[in-house]
Amino acid sequence: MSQDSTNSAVPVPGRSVRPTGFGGAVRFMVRSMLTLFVGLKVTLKKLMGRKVTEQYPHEKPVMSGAFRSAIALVSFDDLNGTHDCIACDACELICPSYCITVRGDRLPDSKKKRATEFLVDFSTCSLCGLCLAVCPTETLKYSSGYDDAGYNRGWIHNLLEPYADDPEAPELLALLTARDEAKRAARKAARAAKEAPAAKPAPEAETTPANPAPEGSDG
Amino acid sequence: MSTESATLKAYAAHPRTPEYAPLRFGTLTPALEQAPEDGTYYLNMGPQHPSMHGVLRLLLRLDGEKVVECEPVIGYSHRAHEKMAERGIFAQFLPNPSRMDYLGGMIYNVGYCQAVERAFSIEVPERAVVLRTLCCELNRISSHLLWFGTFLLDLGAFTPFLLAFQDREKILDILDSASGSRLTYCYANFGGLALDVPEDFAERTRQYIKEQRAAFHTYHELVTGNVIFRQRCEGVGIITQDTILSYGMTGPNARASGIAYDVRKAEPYGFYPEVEFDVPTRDEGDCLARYFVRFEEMEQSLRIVEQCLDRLPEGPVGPKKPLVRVKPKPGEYYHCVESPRGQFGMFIVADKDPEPWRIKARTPSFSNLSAMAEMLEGTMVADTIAILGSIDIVMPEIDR
Repeated sequence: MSQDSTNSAVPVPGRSVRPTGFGGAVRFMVRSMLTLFVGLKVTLKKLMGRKVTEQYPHEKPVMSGAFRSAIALVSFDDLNGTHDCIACDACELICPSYCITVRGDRLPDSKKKRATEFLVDFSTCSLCGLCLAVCPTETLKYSSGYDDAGYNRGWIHNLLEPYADDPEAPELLALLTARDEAKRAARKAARAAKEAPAAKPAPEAETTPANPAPEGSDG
Repeated sequence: MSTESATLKAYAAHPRTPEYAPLRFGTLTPALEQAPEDGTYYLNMGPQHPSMHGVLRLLLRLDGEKVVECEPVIGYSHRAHEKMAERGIFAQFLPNPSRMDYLGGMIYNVGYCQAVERAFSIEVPERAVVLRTLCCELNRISSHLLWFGTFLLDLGAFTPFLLAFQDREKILDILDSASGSRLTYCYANFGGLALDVPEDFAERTRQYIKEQRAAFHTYHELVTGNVIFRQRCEGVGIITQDTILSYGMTGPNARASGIAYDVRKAEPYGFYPEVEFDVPTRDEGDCLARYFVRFEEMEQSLRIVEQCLDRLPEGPVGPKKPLVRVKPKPGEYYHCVESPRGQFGMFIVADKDPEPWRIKARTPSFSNLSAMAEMLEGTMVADTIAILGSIDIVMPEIDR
């Protein structure tokens, strides 16, 4: 009847044996009471130990680098700190929960399109990341806000808000053209570099920019 | 291959019941119209009962405190996930699987990706395979820890719940640092992972493994020997092998009744054929056996995580540009993974369209819950809670 080790600290995944007779019952009861104190000891130890609760409003959590919150537009240094949304609607079309609305217009005297409206209904977003995956200009990222709150059902994120004072269009157009020229030159150089050692088959030369390139000649 | 075939042979050798057991959904609800005349009465447990694990409603016909008949009423959180799959391309279903079983979200997410990759022959880099396996096992531990906490909460113990959640928090933080989410992950995508793990990932995980092993000791000290816990679990809710086979129960519930069926061994996928781990089983089939099986499984999962960390190769975790539009090959495909609750399968019917024609999810909790009607007959009401807690169901996964 003492086969069970119910009050031992080390787990023995055995079965307890039912007590027989009066003495057995008493011993079983005493041993059973002891197991309660073993548990209480753990509780007391934890009570005295270090506190683990984060006192939220007083202590702010540090979000991980991968943390996903509502999407935001990336600002590019070579575009004078502005975004590069060409209003191609790819994110709007792929979104499984239809939470993105993008509208765009052509820049004056150009075929290049640019977003004039980028709205996200974060309450229906499921953070799947498909919009980031399909973005041809890689101008979407996750923001890291964790304490956003909407006060009504029509709570909409306006992604263009930080870019309200966009640079003047001609200047931006020049920047965009310059960047596209540089990209095209880089691509040409890469292709040339690939073709040069093509006499010998070089399997590792798969580094040609595979991204869909039509943003250079959009429209 | 020899070990798997031995497992499968043992599974096949068991004398099966000749017919599948009938599902007992909707058997009792019509009878509610009039009161029974034999002195029994109806009791509704749920859907808003605190110990009902979500929105399960158990309709019980009681004789005093004894359960005469039971019918689980499901469907309160039906969200038409399978229909949602049909209205978009394959990639647009990516966020859904982890919302079916929110406790094993990573495993469901990876399972769906693996199903599509296997069906349409998409290559996955080695590093992504190992990382997926690693994250899945961490997710399994977090799911079992939550089960441990809530199961004991059902039995009336509050401290283990807090301790389990404290340790689960560490896993959530680790998975958050990798995937950016804490519960409903969308980490894997077709052909790899959304992004690589941070630099301190391995170090943090190793630290966690050390702390978790110590924590298991504390849990056992606190719970396993406790007489109240023992009295409420031992010999309660015994599931026979016949019941398990006729209802298609899988996972820890089946293994606690002596059926050593684990998808990771029987139909290995991902990195599992490369790592060493055991499939813990018990023969008793009661609540205590299920408790031990889950605990040992957590220890095995830690073992797998350690091996994955040791053998984590360098390299990319996916294609340069995430693969969004897969090219479907017409046909029917099935791929199953071991979720914390059993076999989770994805049945995909594809034609030439970029949208799936049909996606059927085989979720383990549905089978596990189907056996409830049979298991609960003749038990006491108080044991109902213990049994329900011990089989570890997740309602949104049943209702989908």
